[in-house]
Amino acid sequence: MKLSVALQKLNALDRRWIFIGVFVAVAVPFFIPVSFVAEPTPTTLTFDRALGEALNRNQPIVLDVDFGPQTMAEMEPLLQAVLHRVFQSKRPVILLTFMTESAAPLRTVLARMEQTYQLRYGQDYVFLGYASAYAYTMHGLGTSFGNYFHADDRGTPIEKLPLMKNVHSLRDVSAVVNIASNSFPKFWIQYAVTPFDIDFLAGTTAVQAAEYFPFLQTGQLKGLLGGGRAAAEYETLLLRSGVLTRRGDATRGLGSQSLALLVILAFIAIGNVGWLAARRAGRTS
Amino acid sequence: MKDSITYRLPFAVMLVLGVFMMVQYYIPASPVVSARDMLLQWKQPLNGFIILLAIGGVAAVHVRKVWKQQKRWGYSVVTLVSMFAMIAAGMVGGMEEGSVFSDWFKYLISPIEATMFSLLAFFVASAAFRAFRARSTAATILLVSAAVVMLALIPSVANHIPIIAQLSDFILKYPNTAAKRAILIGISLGAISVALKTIFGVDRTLLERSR
Amino acid sequence: MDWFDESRLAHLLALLGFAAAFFYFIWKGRRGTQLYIRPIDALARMDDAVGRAAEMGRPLLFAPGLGSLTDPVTVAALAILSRVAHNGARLFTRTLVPNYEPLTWPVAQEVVRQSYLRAGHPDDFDPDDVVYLTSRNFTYAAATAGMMMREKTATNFFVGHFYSESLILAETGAATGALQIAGTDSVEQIPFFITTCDATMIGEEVFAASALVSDDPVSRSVVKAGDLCKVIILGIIAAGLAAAILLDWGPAGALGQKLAGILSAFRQGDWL
Repeated sequence: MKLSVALQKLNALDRRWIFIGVFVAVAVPFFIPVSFVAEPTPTTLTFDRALGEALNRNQPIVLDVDFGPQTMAEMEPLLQAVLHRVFQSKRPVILLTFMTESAAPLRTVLARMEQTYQLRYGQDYVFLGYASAYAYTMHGLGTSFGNYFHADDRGTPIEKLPLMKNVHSLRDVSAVVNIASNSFPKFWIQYAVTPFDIDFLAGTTAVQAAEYFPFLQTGQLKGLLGGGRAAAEYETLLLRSGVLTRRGDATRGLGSQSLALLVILAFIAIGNVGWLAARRAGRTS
Repeated sequence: MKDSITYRLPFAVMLVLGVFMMVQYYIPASPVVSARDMLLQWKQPLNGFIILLAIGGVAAVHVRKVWKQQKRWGYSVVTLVSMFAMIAAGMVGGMEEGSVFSDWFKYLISPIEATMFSLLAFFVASAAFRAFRARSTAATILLVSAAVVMLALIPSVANHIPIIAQLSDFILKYPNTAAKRAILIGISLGAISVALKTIFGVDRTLLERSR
Repeated sequence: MDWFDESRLAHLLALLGFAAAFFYFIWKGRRGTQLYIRPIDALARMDDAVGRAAEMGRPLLFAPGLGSLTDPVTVAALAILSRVAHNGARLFTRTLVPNYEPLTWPVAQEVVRQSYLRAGHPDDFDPDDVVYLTSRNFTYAAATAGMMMREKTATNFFVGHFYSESLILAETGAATGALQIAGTDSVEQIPFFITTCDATMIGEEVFAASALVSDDPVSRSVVKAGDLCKVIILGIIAAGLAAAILLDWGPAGALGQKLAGILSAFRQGDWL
């Protein structure tokens, strides 16, 4: 009898217990490293294949980076992995952002990449900086870069950048890759990809990824990396192909993520046991 | 009143620009493309005015609170000081790496916002705890699907029990995508009809009220 | 000079088809034809939810989402706000409206002001109830959640476009015991609202609800245009499905090929 009363209490467990459980699950792997390897799923393999094809086309690619400090923990490893893949291929990259707060962290990452891959600014890559009015600019880039970006992030007029000499509009690039924590991939699809028939790839947060699966099937999205888990899979792939030499931040975060998921599953089970006990007690009374 | 120019003008502007933006999509001729580009560029300076409106809005509410010494007016002082200090730091010291603005952003705003984002992990857990109960057949299907997708995200489970990974992939690719696509089609049609209502002035409630 | 992009012909035909249905139903609405529209659960509960707040003597909270005025869903959310604020004003219940978009804010303020006017209590309107908070989504979530906790709102409405802050808003509301009604076109946030709110308008239900709350029969009849187009889209999907099945089915392979040919030619505008 006592057991049944105790079980019923689980039905309405104070949510602070759940918070403590999740906190412990996330924190423990920081102190006791748990090593996991994320096997690349078909979605991740498709992303890499599509990116590889775009890079082989001998045209620059556009990389639009839009995430702020809130989602940095989830998005930065993803960005790093994609940048390694792109810069290793020695293809020119045009970077830009539609979020003011993305610019500063992006500059830091680019400075690191410049050293690692001995990149020449203006030839191997350019950072056009921030543009406002994203939907209008995305649509406008379909016909002109110059109308929307007069100068790059360092203030150099874009016609003086060697890389931009032959790039007048999105028709002159092989693909657009958008690493974003917001709805910008959807806007890219609506305002540029569909009207101008552009190859488009996206990296998003895990929550957002589910929204983009339909576009993956229609081909409007050629590849998709969703959240930390996909980033970890991509790191595995890049480690195996020799692009990366050591595991990245996403793989390191897998421990916390996995333990937290187990704890959530355990609480769901506990909730159901409590609910069943409460229902049985309700019936017998 | 309804015949006056000031009443009709906004609707006329909306009609002309709305129809133009619809029609330009089908016309690749250069005069149309440059007219569209010009319109798109006009939107950019407008953003500056929107920021002014935002600053004015925040300042007005909080100055009033402090002035009238309303409940918790001390927090309004903190808000006002923080906002103007951040604006001043950006305007005086610039926003480059190493500037005061950049440091405040990096060491104050970033961790605070990252903390808010990380709250999601806790809230997802408590929401899942309450919502995923095997109350009915439909709820049980939801519960089982959620469990499968979560398990598939754990590498050691996915690597050792491939059926879980396959099942999760199936759930995400087919039932999930089918439902999402149906919702998307509905949303798009709904959005088009609201857009047409606005462009053709069928639903004037918002514009009339805001006048 | 090229005056028509032929690759967009199917797109243009789809738009013209929708516009034709749109104007046809407007014409029907103007003639006063009563059209049946399925009742929306969340909408039906909206008035009760306002009544509950009035009984408890606590305010309502209406978050019109993070979209701008150019998002159709924000326009729809403001139409729904007008109904909520009007019902609130009639029952002497405040409606708090925290805004994320600087441009939505003055419009929301005007919508609420007009609602008080129509309810006959223009003096009860406090402009500080409709505030602009911030345009950073987690800061917005923190400020709005704080508002729920401090003001002990009895009913929370989340209608519009939302991002990942949706769960912070709705879960805080659930913790305070508020009755919650949500509606969004953000596909990825719908599951969060469904698990934490008492009623949720899924996608287009928000647009339908915005038409249903208006007293204008013309505005309501437009919902039917979307329904008609959906039937046509379902027909096209069924034709595609039939083509795919027939293609793999020996004796009818030729028929399947023909059907698939028609569909893809229509899509690419080759049949012109």
